[in-house]
Amino acid sequence: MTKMRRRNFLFGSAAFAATLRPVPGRAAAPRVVALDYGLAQTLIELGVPPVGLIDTQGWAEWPIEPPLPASVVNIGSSFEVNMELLQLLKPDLIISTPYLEWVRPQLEQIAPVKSFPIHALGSSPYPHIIAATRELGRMLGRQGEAEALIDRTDNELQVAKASTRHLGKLAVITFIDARNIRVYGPGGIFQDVFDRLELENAWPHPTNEWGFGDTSMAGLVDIGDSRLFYMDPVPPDLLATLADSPLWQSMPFVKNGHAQRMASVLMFGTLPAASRFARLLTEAAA
Amino acid sequence: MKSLHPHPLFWAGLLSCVALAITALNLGPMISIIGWRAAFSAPSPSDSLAVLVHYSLLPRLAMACVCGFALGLSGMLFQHVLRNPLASPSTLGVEAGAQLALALAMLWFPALLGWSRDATTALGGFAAMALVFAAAWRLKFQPVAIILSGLVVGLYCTAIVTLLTLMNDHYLSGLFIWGGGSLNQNDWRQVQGLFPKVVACSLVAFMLARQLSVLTLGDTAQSLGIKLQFTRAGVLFVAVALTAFTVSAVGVIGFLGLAAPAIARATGARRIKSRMIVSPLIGSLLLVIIDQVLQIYAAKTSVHLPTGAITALIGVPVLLIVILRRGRSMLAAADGKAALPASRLPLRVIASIALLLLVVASIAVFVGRDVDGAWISQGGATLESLLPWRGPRLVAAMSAGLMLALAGSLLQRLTGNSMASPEVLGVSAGTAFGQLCILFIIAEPTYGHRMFGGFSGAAIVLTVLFAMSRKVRSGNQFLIIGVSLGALLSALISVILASGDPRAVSLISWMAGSTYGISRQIAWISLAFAVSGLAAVTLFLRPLQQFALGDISAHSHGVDVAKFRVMILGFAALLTAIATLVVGPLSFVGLMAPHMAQRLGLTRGLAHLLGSALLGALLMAIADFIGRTIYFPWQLPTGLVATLLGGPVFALLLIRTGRRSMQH
Repeated sequence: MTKMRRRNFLFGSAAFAATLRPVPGRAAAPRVVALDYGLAQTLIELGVPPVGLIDTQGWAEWPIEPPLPASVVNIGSSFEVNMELLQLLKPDLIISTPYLEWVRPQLEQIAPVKSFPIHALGSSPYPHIIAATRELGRMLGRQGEAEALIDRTDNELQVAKASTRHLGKLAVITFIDARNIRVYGPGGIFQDVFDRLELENAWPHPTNEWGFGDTSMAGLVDIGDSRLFYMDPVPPDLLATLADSPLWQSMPFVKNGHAQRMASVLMFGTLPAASRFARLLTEAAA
Repeated sequence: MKSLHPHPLFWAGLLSCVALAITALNLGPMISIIGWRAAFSAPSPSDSLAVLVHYSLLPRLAMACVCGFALGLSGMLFQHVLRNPLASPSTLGVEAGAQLALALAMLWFPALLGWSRDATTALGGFAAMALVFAAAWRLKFQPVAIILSGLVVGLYCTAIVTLLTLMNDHYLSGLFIWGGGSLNQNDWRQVQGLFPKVVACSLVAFMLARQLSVLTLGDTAQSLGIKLQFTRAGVLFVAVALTAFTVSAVGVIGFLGLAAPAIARATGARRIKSRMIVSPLIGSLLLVIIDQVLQIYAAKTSVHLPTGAITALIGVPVLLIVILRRGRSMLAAADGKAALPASRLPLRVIASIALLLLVVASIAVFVGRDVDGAWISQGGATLESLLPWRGPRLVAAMSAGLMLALAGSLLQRLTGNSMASPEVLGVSAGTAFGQLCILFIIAEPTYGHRMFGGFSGAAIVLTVLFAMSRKVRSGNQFLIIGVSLGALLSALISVILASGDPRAVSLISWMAGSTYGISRQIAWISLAFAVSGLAAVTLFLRPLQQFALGDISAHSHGVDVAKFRVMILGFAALLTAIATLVVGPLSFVGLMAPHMAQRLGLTRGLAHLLGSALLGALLMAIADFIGRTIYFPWQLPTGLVATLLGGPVFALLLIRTGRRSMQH
């Protein structure tokens, strides 16, 4: 039975998205492989966790949420998906990003490929994330779950909006090392969450189409005494360096005690990453 | 004419006016707000602008001065001692060696860094230089040969650093710190650490200046005795130390050590003492100007470009100018081949290599890892489903190895330079550059688009090479132009990487030599080219043998030297372009396989070509299997695995042959 259904699923790979009839009822979940952490987050929330995912070991370090089921098979890096392993997994569907378009012909030999453009489209990623969530729900027969996920995220952001109001202006950065820093801004999901919580980003400069920019520690002075969150992962010897650094110690946000560490949130994540970010902000505001 | 030239210090003065003006433009407004005193004394923590100036901008300015001085002096010392206007920390591989040592220590021996970061980088710098000298020994320190070896060693070290970062960092962070050379400062501590070391090195160098001027007299000075050799060694030591200290402080500041002494010479600084003063000065000023301009640019656009990579973009053209202007005098005929014993049974050796190739290829076909990671030999239906993945990459890798090895042995014979290889011909760089353009022009490039870009890039470089072939008198000059293109490309790539652009990621994995995107058609095309290349090479065999005896001999045997050279170059470049599309620009199989064949006793004619080709294929087959299985489910790029496998063997060979020719 399952095999038959899988065959049906494979049918018509080119016009896959258009022709596929939503699977009615609670049928056996299709075997999906995800080549992107963000899309995998959505899959897990939809109740269709991927059978295979790139770099499963990095999950605990970058997206963290939702928890990754232990059964998910590691299929290598996103630079080089292990095609042999992918073949052995016999997936029904591969979901991917435009950055892997150049290996699409190979992937299509294994299963139909659906790619979701989300970032660097010249606008904020949030609407594209919602569209991708709906599309995934439709393709996997999980429309209800998809709408529920969208509503749930909306609610969580509404709740967070009330409790983060007094945070004022804030900035989110990651330390590449003590001298080189990445700052987040328009074009990324962190800014999208800021907008929905009606928080103001304290970073005054433009960012690239993926929503981040580079700066030095001295550049952080432009944040003023707004709140600063430095996100995990933090390089091993960084905190000791910061403690000794007169420049860091004289930053207005450090002197006012407005600098704090934040657990990692996937910068290229989807709705679960947005909720996680909002929740971490709420916890910081508490 | 000569009297019209102003004093070199006049130019240095002019340059310092430019540096001052740009610095004033960048820092002036801030200093005028806070006042001079606040800028130079510890500011009160409440004045954030003063803090910014005092703890970041001024130390950065000082750092640029000190690093520029150190690299300018270091480059000048290298050039003087080696009597080679192309020598510099970048062109001798010293910088890249230091960088590799730093990367290795960061990953596996952090205790070493805790003990001494400077010593670690110095170790890497000396190791790279030792390797370059070992290679150059065979060629009697022919200037271009040294530089070629140095650039190759440099590219090799950079390739390994790339692989390490590729494997160890999810979002490429940190890569540009190593490769890009960032001058950002958070306080005065780093400057305070570096300054005394540079002063000490400079003092030693100036003390040696008197003996150095004797060196200018050339080889006749050698009769002055052993003391001179100590002076040479001492000066080289100082030069490497200066480079190592700067790399440990700020990373690689590419090609500044080449550009500064070259400019100093161009301003008319001829004598050793004036060059010793003017070169470091110009180094300082140049770095200050570049860094201040980049700061202004960053303030205007919020785009931060890594200073070290930008200096490379400026420095590489300087290298090219020096080659083209002064190249001819440096291109004395190469004559340094150490005679290696020829095998009496070349057929048996070739048959054994072929058999080994067959064994490795079958292992690569049948052995793999299961879903749970267990080693198994696969067969039946499973193998049938896996073969479409395993087959093409194995076939393509072996064909690429074969083509590169063939091209390498052709080039080595043609130029009489044992460091010649297709990777340094510039065709690989052109291929990479074409692909890079495609990535930024087309939003969702397919493999076909990338192939097209790669081919166009290779074709452009080929056309340029042919256009120049009338002027260029030696194959070596081709090669050094090719390597310069490679260096320019890697600088460009570090600039793009520094921007964190995700598009660059797929380019890196191709550059690392990934056979991941190979389709069946491409595998068959590569195989077809490899086989027909092997067949075609027999046509070149006779004239090539005359060539090995030198241009004049070839001419007297009725070979049209110029035409023949162009033909072989074109053939080698075509093979390289096809192979590079498959296996990336940095596999170095074309360099290593011909040497290995020679060591196995296949020294002449067809035996050497055939042996090299088979060894190239063998090396790639082994690399393909290891890359596919050893770190399952991750796959290591075949090209880099081949480099890592062959590199140590190759280094050993070079050092052993170096020692032998020393005893001659």
